[in-house]
Amino acid sequence: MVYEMLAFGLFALITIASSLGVVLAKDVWHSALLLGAALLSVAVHYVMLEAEFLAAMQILVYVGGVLILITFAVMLTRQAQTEAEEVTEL
Amino acid sequence: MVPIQYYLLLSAAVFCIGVFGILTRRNALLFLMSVELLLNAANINLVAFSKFHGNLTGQTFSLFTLALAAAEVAVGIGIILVLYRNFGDVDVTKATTMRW
Repeated sequence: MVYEMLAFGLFALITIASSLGVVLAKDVWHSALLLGAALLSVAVHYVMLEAEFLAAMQILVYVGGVLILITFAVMLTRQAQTEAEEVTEL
Repeated sequence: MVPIQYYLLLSAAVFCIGVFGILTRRNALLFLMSVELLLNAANINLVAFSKFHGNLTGQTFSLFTLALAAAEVAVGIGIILVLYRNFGDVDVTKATTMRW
């Protein structure tokens, strides 16, 4: 009973802290990584709510699919951005 | 067993953070990530109510939300890449060609 509350508090703290990090981080890449942490801790909440299938789907779909797509977008836009900055500096 | 109110508070907190992100950041990618946070907050609510009502309706709904989120990100990334190609940046305030 007490352990369950402790686990809930710990993972609620992780969820809220990494969500705040997503919003407040200066670097988009750090935001993407923190979004992955937030999604994984939400999956842990699903396990504690006895929704194991949904937790597995959360990890597969969100962390395996959505986060990869966001990573692609970050890399595509960021790399071209730094190249453009170098060109303007030269 | 953790009371349902705690899960609702957690979900409300995550939702508020997502809304804050949408309202304050200008990067289009941050918009996408904040929308993910909003959908996750809604999912936590659905699953918590599903547990405390003892049926699987909420979990089924959240599976639909999951599929919707994946499709939304695929479309959103296409839009962001076109935005980047046309305006050279992912700043949403720079795309002003549709402003009258």
